Amino acid sequence: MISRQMRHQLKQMLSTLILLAVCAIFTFPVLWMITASFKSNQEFIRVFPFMPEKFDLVYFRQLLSGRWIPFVQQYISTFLIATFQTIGATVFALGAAFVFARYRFRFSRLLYLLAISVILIPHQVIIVPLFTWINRLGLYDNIFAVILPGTVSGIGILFLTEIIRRVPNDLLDIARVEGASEYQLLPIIYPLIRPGVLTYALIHFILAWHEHFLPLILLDTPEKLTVSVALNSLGSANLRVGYALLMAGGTLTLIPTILFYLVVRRHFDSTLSQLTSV
Amino acid sequence: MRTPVVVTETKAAQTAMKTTRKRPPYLFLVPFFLFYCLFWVVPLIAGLNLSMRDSVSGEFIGLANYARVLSLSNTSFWRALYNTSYYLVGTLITIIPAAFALALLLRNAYSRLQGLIRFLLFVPALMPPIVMGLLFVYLFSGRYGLLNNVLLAPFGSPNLDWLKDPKLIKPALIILGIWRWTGFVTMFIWAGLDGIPQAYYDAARTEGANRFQIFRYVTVPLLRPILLFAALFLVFDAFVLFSGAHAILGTGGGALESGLLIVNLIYRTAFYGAGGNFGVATAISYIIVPILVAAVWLFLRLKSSED
Repeated sequence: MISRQMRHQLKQMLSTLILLAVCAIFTFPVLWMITASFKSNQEFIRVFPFMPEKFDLVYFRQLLSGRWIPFVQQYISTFLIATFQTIGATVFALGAAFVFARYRFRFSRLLYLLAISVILIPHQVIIVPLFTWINRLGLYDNIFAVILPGTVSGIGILFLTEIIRRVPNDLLDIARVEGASEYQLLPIIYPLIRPGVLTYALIHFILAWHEHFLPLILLDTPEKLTVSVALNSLGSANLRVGYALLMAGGTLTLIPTILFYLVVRRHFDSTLSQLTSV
Repeated sequence: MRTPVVVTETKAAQTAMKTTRKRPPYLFLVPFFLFYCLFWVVPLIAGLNLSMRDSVSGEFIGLANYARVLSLSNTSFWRALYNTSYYLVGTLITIIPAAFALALLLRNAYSRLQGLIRFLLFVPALMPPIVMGLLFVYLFSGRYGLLNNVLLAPFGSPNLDWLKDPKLIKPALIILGIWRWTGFVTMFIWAGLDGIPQAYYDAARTEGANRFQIFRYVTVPLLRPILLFAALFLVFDAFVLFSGAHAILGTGGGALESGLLIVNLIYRTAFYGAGGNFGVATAISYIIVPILVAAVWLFLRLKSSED
Protein backbone atom coordinates (compact mmCIF):
# COMPACT_ATOMS: atom_id res chain seq x y z
CA MET A 1 0.00 0.00 0.00
CA ILE A 2 2.71 2.42 1.03
CA SER A 3 4.71 1.93 -2.11
CA ARG A 4 1.63 2.54 -4.22
CA GLN A 5 0.92 5.74 -2.39
CA MET A 6 4.51 6.82 -2.83
CA ARG A 7 4.36 6.09 -6.51
CA HIS A 8 1.27 8.20 -6.74
CA GLN A 9 2.95 11.07 -4.92
CA LEU A 10 6.03 10.81 -7.08
CA LYS A 11 3.89 10.92 -10.18
CA GLN A 12 2.07 13.95 -8.87
CA MET A 13 5.29 15.76 -8.07
CA LEU A 14 6.98 14.95 -11.38
CA SER A 15 3.93 15.97 -13.41
CA THR A 16 3.70 19.26 -11.56
CA LEU A 17 7.40 19.97 -12.01
CA ILE A 18 7.34 19.27 -15.74
CA LEU A 19 4.27 21.44 -16.15
CA LEU A 20 5.79 24.29 -14.19
CA ALA A 21 8.89 24.11 -16.39
CA VAL A 22 6.69 24.29 -19.49
CA CYS A 23 4.78 27.19 -17.95
CA ALA A 24 8.06 29.01 -17.37
CA ILE A 25 8.95 28.68 -21.05
CA PHE A 26 5.46 29.69 -22.15
CA THR A 27 5.22 32.74 -19.95
CA PHE A 28 8.79 33.91 -20.39
CA PRO A 29 8.18 36.14 -23.44
CA VAL A 30 5.17 37.64 -21.69
CA LEU A 31 7.16 38.50 -18.59
CA TRP A 32 9.94 39.77 -20.80
CA MET A 33 7.49 42.06 -22.57
CA ILE A 34 6.18 43.41 -19.28
CA THR A 35 9.59 44.04 -17.75
CA ALA A 36 10.87 45.46 -21.05
CA SER A 37 8.26 48.20 -20.91
CA PHE A 38 10.47 49.74 -18.23
CA LYS A 39 13.81 49.27 -19.98
CA SER A 40 15.94 51.57 -22.12
CA ASN A 41 17.08 50.25 -25.53
CA GLN A 42 20.51 49.18 -24.21
CA GLU A 43 18.93 47.36 -21.32
CA PHE A 44 16.43 45.66 -23.64
CA ILE A 45 19.00 44.13 -25.97
CA ARG A 46 20.98 42.64 -23.09
CA VAL A 47 17.92 40.77 -21.77
CA PHE A 48 19.81 39.91 -18.59
CA PRO A 49 19.53 41.15 -15.87
CA PHE A 50 15.90 40.36 -16.43
CA MET A 51 14.54 42.99 -14.09
CA PRO A 52 14.73 46.63 -15.20
CA GLU A 53 16.99 49.03 -13.30
CA LYS A 54 13.99 50.96 -12.10
CA PHE A 55 10.26 50.71 -12.54
CA ASP A 56 9.66 54.09 -14.09
CA LEU A 57 6.39 54.68 -15.90
CA VAL A 58 8.03 57.10 -18.31
CA TYR A 59 7.44 54.90 -21.39
CA PHE A 60 3.80 54.32 -20.53
CA ARG A 61 3.32 58.05 -20.11
CA GLN A 62 5.06 58.74 -23.42
CA LEU A 63 2.87 56.21 -25.20
CA LEU A 64 -0.35 57.54 -23.71
CA SER A 65 0.62 61.15 -24.37
CA GLY A 66 -0.15 60.56 -28.04
CA ARG A 67 3.15 61.99 -29.20
CA TRP A 68 3.95 59.03 -31.45
CA ILE A 69 0.61 57.41 -32.11
CA PRO A 70 -2.90 58.23 -30.85
CA PHE A 71 -2.76 55.16 -28.65
CA VAL A 72 -5.71 55.97 -26.38
CA GLN A 73 -8.11 56.46 -29.31
CA GLN A 74 -6.76 53.32 -30.97
CA TYR A 75 -7.28 51.37 -27.80
CA ILE A 76 -10.91 52.54 -27.63
CA SER A 77 -11.40 51.79 -31.31
CA THR A 78 -10.00 48.27 -30.86
CA PHE A 79 -12.25 47.76 -27.88
CA LEU A 80 -15.34 48.84 -29.82
CA ILE A 81 -14.43 46.65 -32.78
CA ALA A 82 -13.76 43.59 -30.63
CA THR A 83 -16.84 44.07 -28.44
CA PHE A 84 -19.38 44.72 -31.22
CA GLN A 85 -17.91 41.95 -33.33
CA THR A 86 -18.06 39.49 -30.45
CA ILE A 87 -21.65 40.37 -29.55
CA GLY A 88 -22.77 40.24 -33.17
CA ALA A 89 -20.98 36.98 -33.95
CA THR A 90 -22.22 35.29 -30.78
CA VAL A 91 -25.86 36.38 -31.11
CA PHE A 92 -26.13 35.56 -34.83
CA ALA A 93 -24.40 32.22 -34.45
CA LEU A 94 -26.50 31.35 -31.41
CA GLY A 95 -29.77 31.83 -33.28
CA ALA A 96 -28.68 29.85 -36.32
CA ALA A 97 -26.98 27.16 -34.24
CA PHE A 98 -30.19 26.61 -32.27
CA VAL A 99 -32.09 25.87 -35.45
CA PHE A 100 -29.35 23.63 -36.82
CA ALA A 101 -29.03 21.72 -33.57
CA ARG A 102 -32.70 21.04 -32.86
CA TYR A 103 -34.56 20.87 -36.19
CA ARG A 104 -34.44 18.86 -39.37
CA PHE A 105 -36.00 20.40 -42.42
CA ARG A 106 -35.45 20.50 -46.13
CA PHE A 107 -31.87 21.62 -46.90
CA SER A 108 -31.03 21.99 -43.21
CA ARG A 109 -27.92 19.87 -43.65
CA LEU A 110 -26.87 21.83 -46.74
CA LEU A 111 -27.44 25.18 -45.03
CA TYR A 112 -25.35 24.02 -42.10
CA LEU A 113 -22.50 22.98 -44.36
CA LEU A 114 -22.70 26.29 -46.22
CA ALA A 115 -22.57 28.18 -42.92
CA ILE A 116 -19.51 26.38 -41.62
CA SER A 117 -17.71 26.66 -44.93
CA VAL A 118 -16.80 30.17 -43.80
CA ILE A 119 -14.08 28.42 -41.81
CA LEU A 120 -12.57 27.18 -45.05
CA ILE A 121 -12.66 30.50 -46.85
CA PRO A 122 -11.96 33.10 -44.20
CA HIS A 123 -12.20 36.81 -44.92
CA GLN A 124 -8.46 37.14 -45.01
CA VAL A 125 -8.34 34.93 -48.08
CA ILE A 126 -10.98 36.90 -50.02
CA ILE A 127 -9.67 40.25 -48.81
CA VAL A 128 -9.39 41.87 -52.25
CA PRO A 129 -13.03 41.42 -53.36
CA LEU A 130 -14.11 42.28 -49.81
CA PHE A 131 -12.08 45.48 -50.02
CA THR A 132 -13.68 46.55 -53.31
CA TRP A 133 -17.15 45.62 -52.02
CA ILE A 134 -16.65 47.58 -48.77
CA ASN A 135 -15.60 50.55 -50.87
CA ARG A 136 -18.71 50.29 -52.98
CA LEU A 137 -20.88 50.16 -49.85
CA GLY A 138 -19.18 53.35 -48.69
CA LEU A 139 -17.90 51.67 -45.55
CA TYR A 140 -14.18 52.19 -46.19
CA ASP A 141 -12.46 53.70 -43.15
CA ASN A 142 -15.51 53.04 -41.00
CA ILE A 143 -15.02 50.67 -38.06
CA PHE A 144 -18.13 48.77 -39.17
CA ALA A 145 -16.14 47.64 -42.20
CA VAL A 146 -14.14 45.52 -39.76
CA ILE A 147 -16.99 44.71 -37.38
CA LEU A 148 -19.63 43.42 -39.79
CA PRO A 149 -17.62 40.85 -41.79
CA GLY A 150 -16.29 39.55 -38.48
CA THR A 151 -19.79 38.75 -37.24
CA VAL A 152 -20.05 35.93 -39.78
CA SER A 153 -18.37 33.12 -37.88
CA GLY A 154 -18.29 29.54 -39.08
CA ILE A 155 -16.45 28.45 -35.95
CA GLY A 156 -19.28 30.00 -33.91
CA ILE A 157 -21.87 27.91 -35.76
CA LEU A 158 -19.82 24.74 -35.41
CA PHE A 159 -19.13 25.26 -31.72
CA LEU A 160 -22.57 26.43 -30.58
CA THR A 161 -24.40 23.76 -32.58
CA GLU A 162 -22.39 21.13 -30.70
CA ILE A 163 -23.24 22.83 -27.39
CA ILE A 164 -26.99 23.12 -28.06
CA ARG A 165 -27.19 19.49 -29.24
CA ARG A 166 -26.31 18.48 -25.70
CA VAL A 167 -29.41 19.96 -24.10
CA PRO A 168 -31.77 17.09 -23.20
CA ASN A 169 -34.79 16.92 -25.45
CA ASP A 170 -37.19 16.29 -22.55
CA LEU A 171 -36.56 19.81 -21.36
CA LEU A 172 -37.72 21.28 -24.64
CA ASP A 173 -40.76 19.00 -24.62
CA ILE A 174 -41.76 20.08 -21.13
CA ALA A 175 -41.48 23.72 -22.20
CA ARG A 176 -43.64 22.95 -25.23
CA VAL A 177 -46.29 21.28 -23.08
CA GLU A 178 -46.28 24.35 -20.87
CA GLY A 179 -47.19 26.34 -23.96
CA ALA A 180 -43.86 27.79 -25.06
CA SER A 181 -43.60 28.58 -28.76
CA GLU A 182 -40.57 27.40 -30.75
CA TYR A 183 -39.18 30.93 -30.53
CA GLN A 184 -39.40 30.97 -26.74
CA LEU A 185 -37.40 27.75 -26.39
CA LEU A 186 -34.03 29.41 -26.92
CA PRO A 187 -34.46 31.89 -24.04
CA ILE A 188 -35.71 29.03 -21.86
CA ILE A 189 -32.67 26.82 -22.43
CA TYR A 190 -30.23 29.77 -22.41
CA PRO A 191 -29.18 29.34 -18.75
CA LEU A 192 -28.10 25.80 -19.60
CA ILE A 193 -25.96 26.80 -22.55
CA ARG A 194 -24.62 30.05 -21.08
CA PRO A 195 -21.19 28.57 -20.23
CA GLY A 196 -20.82 27.46 -23.84
CA VAL A 197 -21.91 30.82 -25.19
CA LEU A 198 -19.45 32.67 -22.94
CA THR A 199 -16.68 30.29 -23.96
CA TYR A 200 -17.30 31.01 -27.60
CA ALA A 201 -17.48 34.74 -26.86
CA LEU A 202 -14.08 34.53 -25.17
CA ILE A 203 -12.48 32.78 -28.12
CA HIS A 204 -13.97 35.27 -30.56
CA PHE A 205 -13.00 38.26 -28.45
CA ILE A 206 -9.37 37.12 -28.28
CA LEU A 207 -9.19 36.80 -32.05
CA ALA A 208 -11.04 40.08 -32.70
CA TRP A 209 -9.00 42.02 -30.17
CA HIS A 210 -5.81 41.01 -31.96
CA GLU A 211 -7.27 41.73 -35.40
CA HIS A 212 -4.52 43.06 -37.61
CA PHE A 213 -5.11 42.21 -41.23
CA LEU A 214 -8.63 43.53 -41.90
CA PRO A 215 -8.11 46.87 -40.12
CA LEU A 216 -4.80 47.32 -41.93
CA ILE A 217 -6.63 47.20 -45.24
CA LEU A 218 -10.11 48.51 -44.49
CA LEU A 219 -9.26 51.42 -42.20
CA ASP A 220 -7.18 54.50 -42.84
CA THR A 221 -7.59 57.19 -40.16
CA PRO A 222 -4.87 56.59 -37.52
CA GLU A 223 -7.34 57.05 -34.65
CA LYS A 224 -9.52 54.19 -35.92
CA LEU A 225 -6.76 51.63 -36.35
CA THR A 226 -6.47 48.70 -34.00
CA VAL A 227 -3.56 48.56 -31.58
CA SER A 228 -1.98 45.65 -33.48
CA VAL A 229 -1.74 47.71 -36.67
CA ALA A 230 -0.51 50.73 -34.73
CA LEU A 231 2.16 48.85 -32.81
CA ASN A 232 3.42 47.13 -35.92
CA SER A 233 3.81 50.38 -37.82
CA LEU A 234 5.44 51.94 -34.78
CA GLY A 235 7.82 49.00 -34.56
CA SER A 236 8.89 48.99 -38.17
CA ALA A 237 8.79 52.73 -38.87
CA ASN A 238 10.99 54.28 -36.28
CA LEU A 239 13.27 52.39 -33.99
CA ARG A 240 14.39 55.58 -32.31
CA VAL A 241 11.05 55.37 -30.55
CA GLY A 242 12.46 52.71 -28.28
CA TYR A 243 11.39 49.14 -27.77
CA ALA A 244 10.01 50.01 -24.36
CA LEU A 245 7.22 51.99 -25.97
CA LEU A 246 6.19 48.97 -28.04
CA MET A 247 6.39 46.69 -25.03
CA ALA A 248 4.35 49.12 -22.95
CA GLY A 249 1.75 49.06 -25.73
CA GLY A 250 1.81 45.28 -25.75
CA THR A 251 1.43 45.13 -21.99
CA LEU A 252 -1.61 47.40 -22.04
CA THR A 253 -3.06 45.35 -24.89
CA LEU A 254 -2.82 42.20 -22.78
CA ILE A 255 -5.15 43.50 -20.05
CA PRO A 256 -8.65 43.04 -21.57
CA THR A 257 -8.06 39.50 -22.81
CA ILE A 258 -6.64 38.42 -19.45
CA LEU A 259 -9.54 39.97 -17.57
CA PHE A 260 -12.10 38.37 -19.88
CA TYR A 261 -10.41 34.99 -19.46
CA LEU A 262 -10.30 35.26 -15.68
CA VAL A 263 -13.99 36.21 -15.53
CA VAL A 264 -15.25 33.33 -17.67
CA ARG A 265 -12.63 30.62 -16.99
CA ARG A 266 -15.01 28.61 -14.81
CA HIS A 267 -17.51 28.36 -17.67
CA PHE A 268 -14.72 27.75 -20.13
CA ASP A 269 -13.54 24.64 -18.30
CA SER A 270 -17.00 23.16 -17.74
CA THR A 271 -18.10 23.73 -21.33
CA LEU A 272 -15.18 22.01 -22.92
CA SER A 273 -15.57 18.86 -20.86
CA GLN A 274 -19.14 18.54 -22.11
CA LEU A 275 -17.89 18.26 -25.66
CA THR A 276 -16.54 14.77 -25.05
CA SER A 277 -18.53 11.68 -26.02
CA VAL A 278 -21.45 11.22 -28.39
CA MET B 1 -20.79 19.57 -10.72
CA ARG B 2 -20.14 18.42 -14.20
CA THR B 3 -22.44 15.84 -15.56
CA PRO B 4 -21.00 14.29 -18.68
CA VAL B 5 -23.69 13.79 -21.23
CA VAL B 6 -23.67 10.32 -22.66
CA VAL B 7 -26.23 9.76 -25.35
CA THR B 8 -26.52 6.33 -26.86
CA GLU B 9 -27.15 5.69 -30.51
CA THR B 10 -30.84 4.93 -30.11
CA LYS B 11 -31.47 7.94 -27.93
CA ALA B 12 -29.77 10.19 -30.47
CA ALA B 13 -31.94 8.70 -33.18
CA GLN B 14 -35.05 9.35 -31.11
CA THR B 15 -33.94 12.94 -30.57
CA ALA B 16 -33.53 13.42 -34.29
CA MET B 17 -36.99 12.00 -34.93
CA LYS B 18 -38.67 14.14 -32.32
CA THR B 19 -37.14 17.31 -33.67
CA THR B 20 -38.70 16.92 -37.11
CA ARG B 21 -42.29 17.51 -36.06
CA LYS B 22 -42.33 21.17 -35.12
CA ARG B 23 -42.02 24.08 -37.49
CA PRO B 24 -38.52 25.47 -36.96
CA PRO B 25 -38.08 29.09 -35.81
CA TYR B 26 -36.78 30.13 -39.21
CA LEU B 27 -36.36 33.77 -38.21
CA PHE B 28 -33.41 32.78 -36.05
CA LEU B 29 -31.52 32.01 -39.24
CA VAL B 30 -32.11 35.44 -40.74
CA PRO B 31 -29.46 37.64 -39.03
CA PHE B 32 -26.65 35.18 -39.60
CA PHE B 33 -27.49 34.50 -43.23
CA LEU B 34 -28.13 38.17 -43.96
CA PHE B 35 -24.58 39.11 -43.00
CA TYR B 36 -23.33 35.86 -44.47
CA CYS B 37 -24.69 36.86 -47.87
CA LEU B 38 -23.70 40.49 -47.57
CA PHE B 39 -20.11 40.07 -46.39
CA TRP B 40 -19.14 36.63 -47.56
CA VAL B 41 -21.19 35.41 -50.53
CA VAL B 42 -21.24 38.74 -52.40
CA PRO B 43 -17.46 39.33 -52.22
CA LEU B 44 -16.86 35.68 -53.01
CA ILE B 45 -18.90 35.93 -56.22
CA ALA B 46 -17.86 39.48 -57.13
CA GLY B 47 -14.28 38.34 -56.80
CA LEU B 48 -14.68 35.89 -59.69
CA ASN B 49 -15.33 38.82 -61.97
CA LEU B 50 -12.43 40.76 -60.46
CA SER B 51 -10.06 37.85 -60.95
CA MET B 52 -10.76 37.78 -64.68
CA ARG B 53 -10.04 41.43 -65.36
CA ASP B 54 -6.86 43.33 -65.97
CA SER B 55 -6.31 45.48 -62.92
CA VAL B 56 -5.12 48.50 -64.89
CA SER B 57 -7.46 48.66 -67.88
CA GLY B 58 -10.36 46.75 -66.33
CA GLU B 59 -10.61 44.71 -69.50
CA PHE B 60 -11.94 41.16 -69.40
CA ILE B 61 -8.96 38.88 -69.89
CA GLY B 62 -10.38 35.47 -69.03
CA LEU B 63 -8.05 33.22 -67.14
CA ALA B 64 -4.87 35.18 -67.85
CA ASN B 65 -4.45 36.18 -64.19
CA TYR B 66 -4.75 32.55 -63.13
CA ALA B 67 -2.17 31.56 -65.69
CA ARG B 68 0.14 34.22 -64.34
CA VAL B 69 -0.20 32.90 -60.79
CA LEU B 70 0.29 29.28 -61.80
CA SER B 71 3.07 29.82 -64.33
CA LEU B 72 6.22 28.31 -62.96
CA SER B 73 8.20 31.46 -63.62
CA ASN B 74 6.10 33.08 -60.91
CA THR B 75 7.52 30.95 -58.16
CA SER B 76 6.21 33.10 -55.30
CA PHE B 77 2.83 31.41 -55.36
CA TRP B 78 4.22 27.88 -55.21
CA ARG B 79 6.60 28.92 -52.49
CA ALA B 80 3.84 30.51 -50.42
CA LEU B 81 1.66 27.43 -50.85
CA TYR B 82 4.53 25.16 -49.86
CA ASN B 83 5.43 27.33 -46.88
CA THR B 84 1.86 27.51 -45.63
CA SER B 85 1.39 23.74 -45.95
CA TYR B 86 4.72 23.19 -44.25
CA TYR B 87 3.64 25.45 -41.41
CA LEU B 88 0.25 23.74 -41.15
CA VAL B 89 1.67 20.21 -41.02
CA GLY B 90 4.47 21.33 -38.73
CA THR B 91 2.10 22.84 -36.19
CA LEU B 92 -0.50 20.06 -36.38
CA ILE B 93 1.91 17.19 -35.76
CA THR B 94 3.64 18.96 -32.89
CA ILE B 95 0.88 20.85 -31.12
CA ILE B 96 -1.72 18.10 -30.84
CA PRO B 97 0.56 15.39 -29.37
CA ALA B 98 2.28 17.94 -27.11
CA ALA B 99 -1.06 19.25 -25.90
CA PHE B 100 -2.23 15.69 -25.29
CA ALA B 101 0.84 15.00 -23.17
CA LEU B 102 0.43 18.23 -21.23
CA ALA B 103 -3.24 17.51 -20.63
CA LEU B 104 -2.43 14.04 -19.26
CA LEU B 105 0.24 15.55 -16.99
CA LEU B 106 -2.22 18.20 -15.87
CA ARG B 107 -4.59 15.50 -14.62
CA ASN B 108 -1.82 14.11 -12.42
CA ALA B 109 -0.56 17.44 -11.08
CA TYR B 110 -1.34 18.81 -7.62
CA SER B 111 -4.93 19.86 -7.73
CA ARG B 112 -4.20 23.08 -5.87
CA LEU B 113 -1.80 24.23 -8.57
CA GLN B 114 -3.94 23.15 -11.51
CA GLY B 115 -5.82 26.42 -11.81
CA LEU B 116 -2.61 28.42 -11.87
CA ILE B 117 -0.97 26.09 -14.39
CA ARG B 118 -3.99 26.27 -16.69
CA PHE B 119 -3.88 30.05 -16.57
CA LEU B 120 -0.15 30.19 -17.30
CA LEU B 121 -0.47 27.75 -20.20
CA PHE B 122 -3.24 29.89 -21.66
CA VAL B 123 -1.37 33.19 -21.44
CA PRO B 124 0.46 32.94 -24.81
CA ALA B 125 -2.90 32.79 -26.61
CA LEU B 126 -3.81 36.08 -24.95
CA MET B 127 -0.69 37.86 -26.21
CA PRO B 128 -1.04 40.16 -29.22
CA PRO B 129 0.59 38.20 -32.07
CA ILE B 130 2.14 41.32 -33.45
CA VAL B 131 4.03 42.05 -30.22
CA MET B 132 4.97 38.40 -30.04
CA GLY B 133 6.37 38.65 -33.55
CA LEU B 134 8.47 41.65 -32.56
CA LEU B 135 9.71 39.87 -29.43
CA PHE B 136 10.59 36.77 -31.41
CA VAL B 137 12.78 38.84 -33.69
CA TYR B 138 15.05 39.47 -30.70
CA LEU B 139 14.61 36.00 -29.33
CA PHE B 140 15.71 34.40 -32.61
CA SER B 141 18.23 36.94 -33.83
CA GLY B 142 21.69 35.56 -34.61
CA ARG B 143 24.10 37.63 -32.55
CA TYR B 144 22.02 38.77 -29.63
CA GLY B 145 19.24 36.23 -29.75
CA LEU B 146 18.36 34.61 -26.50
CA LEU B 147 17.69 31.24 -28.09
CA ASN B 148 21.26 31.00 -29.38
CA ASN B 149 22.98 32.52 -26.41
CA VAL B 150 21.15 30.89 -23.57
CA LEU B 151 19.62 27.66 -24.83
CA LEU B 152 21.85 26.47 -27.65
CA ALA B 153 25.35 27.83 -26.92
CA PRO B 154 25.82 25.67 -23.80
CA PHE B 155 25.43 22.62 -26.03
CA GLY B 156 28.14 23.86 -28.35
CA SER B 157 25.76 24.78 -31.13
CA PRO B 158 27.06 27.35 -33.61
CA ASN B 159 25.24 30.66 -33.82
CA LEU B 160 22.20 29.96 -35.94
CA ASP B 161 20.78 32.92 -37.75
CA TRP B 162 17.16 31.80 -37.55
CA LEU B 163 15.58 34.66 -39.40
CA LYS B 164 18.18 35.08 -42.13
CA ASP B 165 18.85 31.45 -42.98
CA PRO B 166 16.17 30.27 -45.43
CA LYS B 167 16.29 26.79 -43.91
CA LEU B 168 15.47 28.02 -40.44
CA ILE B 169 12.75 30.59 -41.07
CA LYS B 170 9.90 28.07 -41.29
CA PRO B 171 10.94 26.18 -38.15
CA ALA B 172 11.12 29.56 -36.40
CA LEU B 173 7.55 30.36 -37.49
CA ILE B 174 6.43 26.91 -36.36
CA ILE B 175 8.03 27.48 -32.96
CA LEU B 176 6.07 30.71 -32.77
CA GLY B 177 2.87 28.82 -33.61
CA ILE B 178 3.62 26.08 -31.09
CA TRP B 179 4.30 28.65 -28.43
CA ARG B 180 1.08 30.47 -29.16
CA TRP B 181 -1.43 27.62 -29.44
CA THR B 182 -0.20 24.60 -27.47
CA GLY B 183 -1.63 25.85 -24.19
CA PHE B 184 -4.92 26.72 -25.85
CA VAL B 185 -5.29 23.24 -27.35
CA THR B 186 -4.21 21.71 -24.03
CA MET B 187 -7.22 23.36 -22.36
CA PHE B 188 -9.54 21.67 -24.84
CA ILE B 189 -8.01 18.23 -24.46
CA TRP B 190 -7.74 18.51 -20.68
CA ALA B 191 -11.38 19.46 -20.36
CA GLY B 192 -12.27 16.68 -22.76
CA LEU B 193 -10.43 14.10 -20.65
CA ASP B 194 -12.24 15.47 -17.63
CA GLY B 195 -15.57 14.78 -19.32
CA ILE B 196 -14.94 11.07 -19.90
CA PRO B 197 -16.84 9.11 -17.23
CA GLN B 198 -14.63 7.00 -14.99
CA ALA B 199 -16.99 4.07 -15.63
CA TYR B 200 -15.64 3.78 -19.20
CA TYR B 201 -12.11 3.28 -17.95
CA ASP B 202 -13.25 0.83 -15.29
CA ALA B 203 -15.20 -1.17 -17.84
CA ALA B 204 -12.21 -1.32 -20.18
CA ARG B 205 -9.96 -2.42 -17.32
CA THR B 206 -12.27 -5.25 -16.25
CA GLU B 207 -12.30 -6.39 -19.85
CA GLY B 208 -8.54 -6.74 -19.52
CA ALA B 209 -7.45 -3.81 -21.65
CA ASN B 210 -3.95 -2.50 -21.05
CA ARG B 211 -3.06 1.18 -20.82
CA PHE B 212 -2.28 1.61 -24.46
CA GLN B 213 -5.52 -0.11 -25.48
CA ILE B 214 -7.52 2.09 -23.13
CA PHE B 215 -5.89 5.17 -24.63
CA ARG B 216 -6.39 3.97 -28.17
CA TYR B 217 -9.92 2.57 -27.90
CA VAL B 218 -11.51 4.65 -25.15
CA THR B 219 -9.80 8.02 -24.76
CA VAL B 220 -9.04 8.91 -28.37
CA PRO B 221 -12.45 8.01 -29.88
CA LEU B 222 -14.30 9.88 -27.14
CA LEU B 223 -12.15 12.92 -27.67
CA ARG B 224 -12.73 12.98 -31.41
CA PRO B 225 -15.06 16.01 -31.47
CA ILE B 226 -12.53 18.00 -29.48
CA LEU B 227 -9.53 16.88 -31.48
CA LEU B 228 -11.40 17.71 -34.65
CA PHE B 229 -12.27 21.17 -33.40
CA ALA B 230 -8.66 21.79 -32.37
CA ALA B 231 -7.36 20.58 -35.72
CA LEU B 232 -9.82 22.75 -37.68
CA PHE B 233 -8.84 25.70 -35.54
CA LEU B 234 -5.18 25.15 -36.42
CA VAL B 235 -6.02 24.81 -40.13
CA PHE B 236 -7.92 28.08 -39.93
CA ASP B 237 -5.02 29.70 -38.12
CA ALA B 238 -2.43 28.53 -40.64
CA PHE B 239 -4.35 29.98 -43.56
CA VAL B 240 -5.00 33.34 -41.97
CA LEU B 241 -1.59 33.63 -40.36
CA PHE B 242 -0.33 37.04 -41.19
CA SER B 243 0.64 39.07 -38.13
CA GLY B 244 3.54 37.01 -36.84
CA ALA B 245 5.17 36.51 -40.21
CA HIS B 246 4.51 40.12 -41.17
CA ALA B 247 6.11 41.45 -38.01
CA ILE B 248 9.11 39.17 -38.28
CA LEU B 249 9.78 39.16 -41.99
CA GLY B 250 7.98 42.19 -43.41
CA THR B 251 6.40 42.08 -46.87
CA GLY B 252 9.36 40.34 -48.48
CA GLY B 253 8.77 37.01 -46.76
CA GLY B 254 12.40 36.65 -45.67
CA ALA B 255 15.45 35.32 -47.47
CA LEU B 256 14.47 33.50 -50.70
CA GLU B 257 10.86 34.07 -49.65
CA SER B 258 11.15 31.03 -47.46
CA GLY B 259 8.81 32.53 -44.89
CA LEU B 260 6.27 33.88 -47.36
CA LEU B 261 2.75 32.72 -46.47
CA ILE B 262 -0.42 32.79 -48.54
CA VAL B 263 -2.13 35.75 -46.89
CA ASN B 264 1.11 37.71 -46.90
CA LEU B 265 1.46 37.02 -50.62
CA ILE B 266 -2.11 38.18 -51.29
CA TYR B 267 -1.41 41.32 -49.29
CA ARG B 268 1.82 41.99 -51.10
CA THR B 269 0.31 41.40 -54.52
CA ALA B 270 -2.74 43.58 -53.96
CA PHE B 271 -1.77 46.38 -51.65
CA TYR B 272 1.96 46.75 -51.39
CA GLY B 273 3.83 49.31 -53.42
CA ALA B 274 2.58 51.20 -56.45
CA GLY B 275 1.83 48.26 -58.74
CA GLY B 276 -0.80 46.56 -56.64
CA ASN B 277 -2.59 44.04 -58.81
CA PHE B 278 -6.09 43.18 -57.62
CA GLY B 279 -6.81 40.77 -60.43
CA VAL B 280 -3.80 38.58 -59.77
CA ALA B 281 -4.27 38.75 -55.99
CA THR B 282 -7.89 37.61 -56.32
CA ALA B 283 -6.85 34.82 -58.65
CA ILE B 284 -4.53 33.57 -55.90
CA SER B 285 -7.50 33.43 -53.53
CA TYR B 286 -9.55 31.33 -55.92
CA ILE B 287 -6.72 28.92 -56.56
CA ILE B 288 -6.31 28.47 -52.81
CA VAL B 289 -9.98 27.78 -52.09
CA PRO B 290 -10.30 24.35 -53.76
CA ILE B 291 -6.96 23.32 -52.28
CA LEU B 292 -8.19 24.22 -48.82
CA VAL B 293 -11.51 22.46 -49.28
CA ALA B 294 -9.79 19.33 -50.61
CA ALA B 295 -7.29 19.35 -47.73
CA VAL B 296 -9.96 19.56 -45.06
CA TRP B 297 -12.16 16.99 -46.80
CA LEU B 298 -9.24 14.57 -47.00
CA PHE B 299 -8.44 15.25 -43.38
CA LEU B 300 -12.01 14.53 -42.28
CA ARG B 301 -12.04 11.36 -44.36
CA LEU B 302 -8.85 10.14 -42.72
CA LYS B 303 -10.25 10.90 -39.31
CA SER B 304 -13.48 8.99 -39.87
CA SER B 305 -11.88 5.95 -41.51
CA GLU B 306 -9.76 5.46 -38.42
CA ASP B 307 -12.49 3.71 -36.48
